[in-house]
Amino acid sequence: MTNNLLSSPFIRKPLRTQTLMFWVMVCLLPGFIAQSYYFGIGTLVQVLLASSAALATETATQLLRGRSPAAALADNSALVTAVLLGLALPAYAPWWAAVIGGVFAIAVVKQLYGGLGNNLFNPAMAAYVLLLVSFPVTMTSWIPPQSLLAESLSLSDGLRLIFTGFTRDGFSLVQIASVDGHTLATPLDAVKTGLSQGLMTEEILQGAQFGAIAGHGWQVINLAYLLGGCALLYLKVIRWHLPVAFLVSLIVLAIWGQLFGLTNAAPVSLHLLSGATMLGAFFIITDPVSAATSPRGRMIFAALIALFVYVIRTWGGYPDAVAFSVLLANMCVPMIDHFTKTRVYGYNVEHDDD
Amino acid sequence: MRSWLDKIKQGQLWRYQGGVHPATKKDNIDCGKPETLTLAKQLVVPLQQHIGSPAKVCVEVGSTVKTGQALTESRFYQSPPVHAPCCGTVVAIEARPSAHPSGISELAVVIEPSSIQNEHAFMAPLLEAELTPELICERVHQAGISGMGGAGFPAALKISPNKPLNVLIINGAECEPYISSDDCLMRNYAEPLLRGVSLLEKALSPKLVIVAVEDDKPGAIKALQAAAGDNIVVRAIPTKYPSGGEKQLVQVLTGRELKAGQLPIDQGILVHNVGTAYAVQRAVDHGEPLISRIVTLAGDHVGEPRNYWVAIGTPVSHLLEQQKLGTHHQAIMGGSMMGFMLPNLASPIVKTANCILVNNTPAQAQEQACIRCGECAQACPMGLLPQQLYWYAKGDDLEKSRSYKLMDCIECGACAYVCPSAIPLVQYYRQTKAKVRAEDLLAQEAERAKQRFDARKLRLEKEQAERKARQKQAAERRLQQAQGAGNDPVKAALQRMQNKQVEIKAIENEQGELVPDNSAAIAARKARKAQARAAKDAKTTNPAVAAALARAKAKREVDGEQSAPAKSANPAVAAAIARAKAKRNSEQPAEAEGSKPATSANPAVAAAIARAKAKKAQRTDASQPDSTAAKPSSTSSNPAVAAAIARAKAKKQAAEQPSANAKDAAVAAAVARAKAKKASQSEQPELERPENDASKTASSANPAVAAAIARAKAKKAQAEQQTQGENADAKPAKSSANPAVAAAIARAKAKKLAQEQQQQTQNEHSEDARSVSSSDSPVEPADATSPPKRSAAVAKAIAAAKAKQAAKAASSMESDNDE
Ligand code: SF4
Ligand code: SF4
Repeated sequence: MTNNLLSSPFIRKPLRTQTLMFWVMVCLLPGFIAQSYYFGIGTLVQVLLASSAALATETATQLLRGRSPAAALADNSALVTAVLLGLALPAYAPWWAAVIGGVFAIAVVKQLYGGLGNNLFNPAMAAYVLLLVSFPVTMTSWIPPQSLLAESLSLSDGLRLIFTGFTRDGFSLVQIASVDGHTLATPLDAVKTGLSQGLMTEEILQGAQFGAIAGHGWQVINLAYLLGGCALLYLKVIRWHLPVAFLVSLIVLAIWGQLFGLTNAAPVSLHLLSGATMLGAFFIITDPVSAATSPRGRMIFAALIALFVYVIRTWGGYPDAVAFSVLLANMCVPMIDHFTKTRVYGYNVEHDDD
Repeated sequence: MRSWLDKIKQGQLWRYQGGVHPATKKDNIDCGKPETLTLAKQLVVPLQQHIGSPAKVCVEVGSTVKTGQALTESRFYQSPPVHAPCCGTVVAIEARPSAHPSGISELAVVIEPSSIQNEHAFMAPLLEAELTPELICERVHQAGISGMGGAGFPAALKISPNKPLNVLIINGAECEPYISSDDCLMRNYAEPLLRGVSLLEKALSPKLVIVAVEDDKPGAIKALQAAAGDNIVVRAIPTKYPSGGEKQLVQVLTGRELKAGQLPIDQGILVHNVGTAYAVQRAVDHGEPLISRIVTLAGDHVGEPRNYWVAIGTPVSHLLEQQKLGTHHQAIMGGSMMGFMLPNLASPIVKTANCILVNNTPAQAQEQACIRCGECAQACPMGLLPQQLYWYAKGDDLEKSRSYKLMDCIECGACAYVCPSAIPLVQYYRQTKAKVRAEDLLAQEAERAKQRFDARKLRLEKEQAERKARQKQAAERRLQQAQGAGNDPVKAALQRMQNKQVEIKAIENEQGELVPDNSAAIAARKARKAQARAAKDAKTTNPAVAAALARAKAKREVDGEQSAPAKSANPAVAAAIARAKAKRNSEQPAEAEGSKPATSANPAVAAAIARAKAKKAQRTDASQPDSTAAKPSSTSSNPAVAAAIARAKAKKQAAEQPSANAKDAAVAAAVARAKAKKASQSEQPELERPENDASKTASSANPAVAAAIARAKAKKAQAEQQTQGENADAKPAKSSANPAVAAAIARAKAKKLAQEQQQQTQNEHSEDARSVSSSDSPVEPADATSPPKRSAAVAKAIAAAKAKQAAKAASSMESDNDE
């Protein structure tokens, strides 16, 4: 009886880590559904592939480290990592991409650094960047949204595409992705290529892949993620500092680009609603482990990511930049933490009235 | 300043960072007039229920006590007494499980209540007219009132501040979930409570009095407001945990943030609990000490959560029985945020116990990895970074823990409450804090030792200067006396003693303060001086030689005696020195009174003084068989003194009749020593007596003592038979394997030679010359007699002797110069 005396406090907030992670996944649903709607079965397959790889790796590494895999799996963190990776991958990327990504994210980025809580980098984004750097073509081959496709992709075709690389009729991903012989890139891609060809932003935005606000399909997907993100905020799973600071910074930068007439500046709406902006704002940069600690630090961290995103999108070689930016900002975290230490009660006290 | 007080008066509230909002769980707790709990079969009143020192027990097992009778007494405010909570009999005064997280047993008075409870031993109520702050303070102390909210700080200490008071805050915030004892008190006893507040006001005369209550207790606020006069502000503050914390409450009410290490009083603010105010009222108006308090009994298992008046000392199990709760439950004393699990339900209700919680034993939630979510940092009311602290606590990084201000953590538990990974953060902090404190203690000790050393160095320098002055004086006196008294040998000897006294006084002072571990440093310092004086010997680099030099120097200064004890921190040695000193005083009655180390707390020293007195009496009044020797000691109950007297008597007897009837071993030993002394005295009336005396330390198992005895023996032999001392010396040395003895022998030899020398050179020289020459000696490696395993001590002794030689060479030059 006296052995298991507990220490105060004897009550706890019911919100537990696994619950938090669970809610993150629930709030990803709208985005996931939207993504599936536009890209078909591929998204689900990628998520499943990445998840199986990640969970298997988590179990294996825990066993290797002589710990209970059940406890580690119970916190759902590996699952969240895998789901995020799956959503970030092109829907019809070959199966091994998701598997490599899942294994790398868990084994190298997370467990090699000491497991949950000790990783310097966001595992999903690190894995994504690894894949992007290793297989640039595969990783940028987003097919256009279903509605833009000449012939819609059947379920079995989708699976074949992922696992064999070709549809039943022998078309490869690249062939499918082209409409009338032209490759249809993602909206951000299109802007980038268009600008490099000397086109004006307005002209580019006339392209088929652009919808009412931003990219066709992408704008809806981003709005869906925004919805999920708001749910997260509402549920107090995440705090506002990171997403708000990120989005506001991005808006400010985009407006600034427009005002100063940067030739290659994309409009604000495009920045906000295309690519991984919303997924990043609410689900990726909010990974607590690799973010800065204090609220102030987090705002700086988020603003930094926004800056990197804008810079890379505008001047960089890659169309989207959330993954790179997150990793770069991860590297700055120790420094940010150092300079944003909170003031401890009783130190540097100033009284206004004495 | 005015504006600040005005702002507070106007009702401005401030915010503090962090804090959490746990469910208060107070709604279903009955806050009606609390029922008085029946007396348990036995009441266990711990002697210490407060921070501070325990008071002295003033009852005995078997004594009958009345309600309110003091069980302990103390004049000091830091140890408020405890009182009998009922009429009954004291059945035991023994260690009982305490109301402490460790369940450690603490001394307690166990009272069995008698069947009739009709008598009390309350103090007389104080009349309004005679109330003074001092009187209130005294009464609060006598009533045993200590803080009833938190740590149990003695209230009397807190209401006798020596700083001006601006704001007196009466803390009725009660921010912890479940606890409603203060709420209950405020609702049902608002009037006496406020009377208590005004008594506190009277004692403290603050500029403003605020009673702060969290706004989730509208009943209490209403009751207080109805009863409060104009001079007391009742202020509702927002419900947030931990608003009841002293620092947080001060911030909420006054906007003042206490600097690290500051107490509220440093900013003219004082916080008292409502329970304390009520207890003050009881004590002043009714003379009733603090013998009961309101306790909340609540929790998942408690059918009718409610408040009770519980006698202090009631076992928690008795309280649980009221709700048919068996002992298989685990109870938490205090609240769910900061309380602790009682290891033993027999633990008593103490003055600080505001709540007993019987909850479902929370399944030890599995501690998961910290996900660095930062929730804890947002919750921390102290602005700490709990996740970093956790990180460093886990890594045992005390340095980082400190720099992240772990020690400012108030252990409120807000961080652990919000932590989604269920990390028992507070537990980590407590452990790390304990480690940091242990480290601090070590550092403090080192610092203190350094300070002592520095202070000592200063003092020694000063003393040296004084000594020089005295020497000068003594020299002048000697000159005069020599002119007046011619060559009278007795006078010359007396003079020598005088000189010696001056020397030994210095050593006594040195030893008066027992300094543990800087003897080496002192030796080194002396060695440096010795080197400086004996410049020719400067080439010695061996540390052993250096140490020896130090000894040589010391020896020179004290006329060759006591050098071995001088480098020891052994109290026995100190005692020996004191004795030497005292004895000399006794031989010089004129100075004896002034230089008596009367303030010394060391019993050994006291004993030595007593002995010295005895001896003095004996000496001055040698012809009278019944000397006054026993007189000074008769007033003392110290066994050491008794022993000393015994020794003194034995010595006297020995002087007349060697085979004195020794009653015990100590006396026998003393007799033996006395004999030795007598022998030596007969030959050398003045010289070396203090040293012989030094051998008189009680326990011969002590190497230092053994050495001293050996020295004494050696000396005796030497005194009897100066020319062939070797033979005598060899004996004790051979028989003893003790290196210290060997060393002593070596020294004795050295000394003997020194004395030979000394007899040649006359004592009219200046102090330096004399002492130096007395301590020099050639040494045969002959020390030969040393045991097969020649120890470092022997080596040192040899080195010392060598050093002495060198010193002698130098000093003889000096003395030449003097002449
Ligand atoms: S609340 Fe717990 S999990 Fe979150 S940062 Fe603090 S210690 Fe880590
Ligand atoms: S227990 Fe310490 S670290 Fe945790 S919230 Fe309270 S003051 Fe802050």
